[in-house]
Parts: sequence; structure tokens; C-alpha cells
Amino acid sequence: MSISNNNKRGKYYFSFVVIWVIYRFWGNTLFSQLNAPVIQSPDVDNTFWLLSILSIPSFIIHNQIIATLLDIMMLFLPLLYLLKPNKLYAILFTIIISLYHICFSLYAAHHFHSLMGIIIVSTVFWSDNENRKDKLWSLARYYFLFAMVSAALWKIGRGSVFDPNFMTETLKAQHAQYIFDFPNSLLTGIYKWTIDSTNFARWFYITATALELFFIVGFFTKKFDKLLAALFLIFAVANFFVMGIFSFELAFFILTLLI
Amino acid sequence: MEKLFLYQLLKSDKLLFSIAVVFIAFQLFFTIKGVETFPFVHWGMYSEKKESGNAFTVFEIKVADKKVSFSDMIDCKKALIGHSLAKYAELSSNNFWEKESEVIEKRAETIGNKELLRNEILNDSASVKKYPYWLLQYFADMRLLQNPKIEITMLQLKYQPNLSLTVINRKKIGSYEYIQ
Repeated sequence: MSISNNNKRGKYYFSFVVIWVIYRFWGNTLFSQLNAPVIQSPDVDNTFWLLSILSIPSFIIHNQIIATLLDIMMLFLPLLYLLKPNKLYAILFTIIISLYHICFSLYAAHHFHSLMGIIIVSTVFWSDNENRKDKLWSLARYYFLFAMVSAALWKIGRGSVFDPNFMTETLKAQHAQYIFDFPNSLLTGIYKWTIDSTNFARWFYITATALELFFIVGFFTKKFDKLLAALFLIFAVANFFVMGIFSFELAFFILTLLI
Repeated sequence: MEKLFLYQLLKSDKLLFSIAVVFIAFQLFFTIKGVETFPFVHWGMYSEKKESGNAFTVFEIKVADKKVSFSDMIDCKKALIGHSLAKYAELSSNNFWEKESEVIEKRAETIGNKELLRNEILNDSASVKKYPYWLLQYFADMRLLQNPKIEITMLQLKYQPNLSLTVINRKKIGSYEYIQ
């Protein structure tokens, strides 16, 4: 691997990060836009507990100047890295994006995983050593493979993939709010069809599990990386139409298969 | 053996090898323990079986007497509103009891300071009651409201054979009106 390859990785990654920050700004969910939330849920996560005990999330969220400063840094650190790659920008960015992930999950009262791609891949740029950067990139790729295979193993281990009604019940719960809000929309029609055809729902879930499990080949060879990236994109698009899940943020991991 | 990435790492970069091994060890530990601890998360995506029964919970939000359909909002905003709303509904209907309080009992045996944990981890009821006000302000940030009031209703719905939804229970769980 060459220096130019690592430069390319940095350029693609931080450019996508800039788009992601704009997306979150548009979604009104950056640190300063959370409007000092009044409910939290750290669940049982030890890291969330530690930060909550140290009052770090509440300090950030209830201090508009600090929150705005972090938002600005979340946008400008990637821009600075694009202009002049420097590991300090990357380290600071990882810290801030991790804090953001914790604050957002804490105050949205849900344990999200969608930002893990951005967080894990950001650690690649913690080193100035090109050789080490290559290895970190490979480690990020292995983490992505682990995440996908692990998702399949959880479905197999918990037996949900063997339950013929599991997906139908999941879809009913997943889409109740949307069908209630928009009873006559085109998407409601699609959702109702997926719920109604139990066989489709069942085989969709089995196929998704098989697809996730297929990522295991990546542990043995890089020959199929482009195919895996394409499969993930298909997975993401199908997830959007069937489950109503937008996987754009998780798609950061795809970079590790493509560059 | 030589083809194994970790083996190559051991031979070429011992620091990175150590970090990778420690990360894998922690990931395994927290997976076996069943406790997600950032950054060691469980990728169980939609694998957990839930007893849904026949009824499904949805929410109706009215801001300035107009229904706000948050299910078609941009994904991150929908996530913030949808999940925090579900937590608010859970706290309101459970007399502010939280599952974390049981974990506090266990962890206090190790950490010691139960009061500190209760203060920092659990929601206090006065704060939770401000949720409708927070939500109104959150919406108000996005547009100017002539009649600044909010009403949150929780509905239990049941799917009919043709998959239309019927309301089987409706309960107002919060409201706030700004008096000018």
C-alpha cells in the first residue's frame, strides 16, 4: 500500500464525514440543536454510566457555548484534515464523535449502533506512519466483517431466524406508527404487502441473515471485497424499503472494502 | 499461521497487535457478560424476540392543534423524537420506575455510592414532567408557532385482517401550553 492510497482513504472518509455533519445539522440533531433534553437513558452501558457519573454529557448539553463549539469542531476538524492531514485532527475528531454518539444515544434514550462505522474508521487516521495506517485500515475492515457476521450469529443463536412469524411481527411493530400516520401512502401499501405475505417476510429475514453470514469470506480473502460492498448496498436499500431503516451512517464501513 | 493477519501484526507491529488483542478480549468479555459497553457493542440487529401480543403502541403529537407526523421526518430526528417519546411514555405509566434502578442496586455493591448513582443515572420525575415543554421547544426551534401548545397522546392499535389499524385505547400522556 502506498502513501497515495492512505491519502485517498483520508479524502473519501473525511469528505463523507462533512456530508454526514451537514445531514445531522439538517436533521436538527447536532449537540447544540438537542435543546437541552430532559430525559436520559444510559441503559446498562458502563461507559455511559461513567460519563453520566462525571456529568460530562449534561455539562455539554446544558452549555450552549460548549455544545456549539463541539459542533463547529465536528465540521472543521474533517475539513482541516482534508486540507492538511494531521493525526491530531483525527484523534480530536474521534473523541468528539464518540461524545456525540454517547450524548445522542443517551438523550434519545436508545442504544444506537449507526455511528460505529464513523467512529471505528476515524481511528485509522490516528497515526502518521503509513504502514501502521494500512494495518489500522485492515483492522477497521475486520471490525466491519465481525459486525456483519456477528449480526447473523445473534439471529441464529437467539433462534429468531428459525421462527416463521418473527419477521412479520417485527414488521408490524416497526411500521405501526407510519401506517397510522399515513394510512393511504404508497409506502404504506408496500409495508402492508410485506406484512401480509408471511413467506416474503420470512425469506427476507433468512436471506438477510445469510447475506450477513456471507461476510465471513472476508476473513479469508479480499477477493470478494467489491462483491461484499455491493451486497451491503443491496442490504441497505432493501432495509430502507422493507424495514424503513436508513443505513447511510453505517455505510461508512464500506470504504474499508473499496479502497 | 503466517497468513493470519494477527500473526503478521505480531511480527510487524507489536503495539498495534497488543491493542487489537485487548480490544478483542474486551469485546468477547462484554458479549459473554451480555452488557453493551461502548465501544464494545452487540451487533444483534433485530434478532431479539419480543412479546408484542396483538396491540402496538404509537403516538400522536399535536403542535398548535395540528398533527405532527414524525414518522416521515429525516431519520436522525425521527430517532430522537420517537425513542425519547417512548421513554417518556414508559416513565409516565410506570410511576417513573426505571429498569436501571435494579442495576444500581447491584453495581452499588462494587462502587459503593448508591445515592450518587441514583442521582446521575436515573431520571428525576420533575425533569421528566418537563418533556412536553422540551418537545414543544424542539419543534418551535424549527418553525414559528402562533399558538404555542403541544398535546401528546399514546394509542394502542390493533391490526385488522386487511391490515388497517384500529384504535383500542387512547390516553393523553402529556401537554403544555405557553401562556403569553
